[in-house]
Amino acid sequence: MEKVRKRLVMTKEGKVFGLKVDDKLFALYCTIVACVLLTIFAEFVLHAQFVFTHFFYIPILLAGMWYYRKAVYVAWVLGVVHILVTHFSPLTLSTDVFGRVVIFSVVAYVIGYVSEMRAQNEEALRAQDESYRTFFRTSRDPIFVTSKDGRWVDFNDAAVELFGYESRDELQEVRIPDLYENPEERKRHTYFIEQQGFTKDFAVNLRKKDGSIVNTLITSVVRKDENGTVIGYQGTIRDDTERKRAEEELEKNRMNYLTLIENSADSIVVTGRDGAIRFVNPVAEAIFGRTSEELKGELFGFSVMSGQSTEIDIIRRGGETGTGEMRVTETEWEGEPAYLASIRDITDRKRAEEEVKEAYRLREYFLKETSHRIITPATIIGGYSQLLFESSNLDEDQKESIQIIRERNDEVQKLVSDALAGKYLEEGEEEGGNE
Amino acid sequence: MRYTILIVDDEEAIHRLLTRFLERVTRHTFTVHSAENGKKGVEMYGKLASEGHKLDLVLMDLRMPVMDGAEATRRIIENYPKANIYLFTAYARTDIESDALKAGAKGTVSKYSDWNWTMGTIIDILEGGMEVGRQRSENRSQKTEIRK
Repeated sequence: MEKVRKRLVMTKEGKVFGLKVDDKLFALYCTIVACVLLTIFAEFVLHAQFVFTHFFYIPILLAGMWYYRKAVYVAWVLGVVHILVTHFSPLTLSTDVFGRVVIFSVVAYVIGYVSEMRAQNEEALRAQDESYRTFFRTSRDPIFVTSKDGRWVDFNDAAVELFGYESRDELQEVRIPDLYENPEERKRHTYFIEQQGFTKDFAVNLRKKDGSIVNTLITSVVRKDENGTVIGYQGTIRDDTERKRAEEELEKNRMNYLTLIENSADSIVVTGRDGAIRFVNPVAEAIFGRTSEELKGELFGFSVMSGQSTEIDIIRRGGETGTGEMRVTETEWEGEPAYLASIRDITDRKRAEEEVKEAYRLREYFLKETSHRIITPATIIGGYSQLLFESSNLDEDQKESIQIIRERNDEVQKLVSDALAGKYLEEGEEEGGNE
Repeated sequence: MRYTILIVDDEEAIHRLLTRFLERVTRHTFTVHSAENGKKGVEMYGKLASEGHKLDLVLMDLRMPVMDGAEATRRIIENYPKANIYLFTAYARTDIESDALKAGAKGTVSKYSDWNWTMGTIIDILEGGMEVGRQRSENRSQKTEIRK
């Protein structure tokens, strides 16, 4: 056809009389020309011995099928040719001729109309089909259609990507059960699909080409034939790996924090705004001598002031008391505002401090008491030695002896006064500091 | 001048020393009464006052058996608010001293081996009133000057 067209009438650009033509137009053109020639031959040579005009329906039908209602123009062209040829031929121009032209036009219109309608329907179907196909092909979620025996019927590019294969053909060769981490799992999966008719977000671990596992959620329905027999399955696959990993990461972080809190050397108590205990760690259980279950929900009993460090009295089980140093910060617990109180058991430190204070007090008491007890006799010795010294009946040796007693006594008193004033304490501390 | 002094101290030697040193002061004459503890001191003060004696100075020790100096001071001041009581003690800057001062004692004369200085302080108190005495008793560093 192509060769013939080119050889007969076509220019290089595929134009006939300046019109761009394709195969259909060319065929139509040929049949019309054939019809015109047939008319001339029939009327001038044969004088219309047979109903040759039936051949006119060939171009009219073709035009109607290909160009729809434009077929009417072909009918008119052929009609005019028929009228003119008859008019110039020896035959008489009867009403039959005009009648035939009308019939050509009507047939052309009807065929054209019906063809157009059918073409429009086909176009609509095609467009719809195309949009489904596009959706199927471009969906980022892998979509699959499989047979009951575990072979691919269809799948999209996202599926190829999900399973990490190079091409559709490569994936096409893989049997469905082999795509499951555990091939037996497919039986369980299809059992559920068939039981319910569908599964929604069915968690399945699938195996990629490189052997790695991908966590997915599969939503699928059964495919049945007209008899209601299950012939396969179709649905979508959602890659859940990232979400699952994030969830695991979150859980890991949560566990880390929990471990930190659980292993904290300080006791940690979380209370709500209502003062009720929400959480206690093991150290807090030990410090209060009660279990977490016993403490949860109870009122904490200490006023919690954010940012302040306060000393609190701890009452353990059995009434034993202790001292805790509590720091409070605002926090959130299970999505609600809460207070986090960390309590350090300073009972031992406190006791040690008290003991040191008591030791200091005793030392001070001892020092003062001793000093004062020395001063009184020294005052008396001083008084009498002064009286002796100032009496007139002493020789020089005796006076010198008394003077030595007085001087030494003054020295003792000075030592004690200095000790009372804390002089030696300070010197001792300084020496200690210089070491 | 003639002064009457009451010394309340559990040390017998202190009584005698005070008397001996006061005897050496030539420009005044002294009558010294003594009591060996706070309780007796209070009784003595009351007795002397009721007999019409004017007591110019009470020297009150702090640490004594039966009743301490702070309590005795409080009791005397209770009955005789104008009593001129000075603490005579080795216990400087103690709780009991501050208790006694709060109770109404006017100052402290520290017990010290240099009795000339002690006498000087006592005479200052008697002659010049309590301000001079207190100042003197509180600032021992001035003792050499005052002794002149």
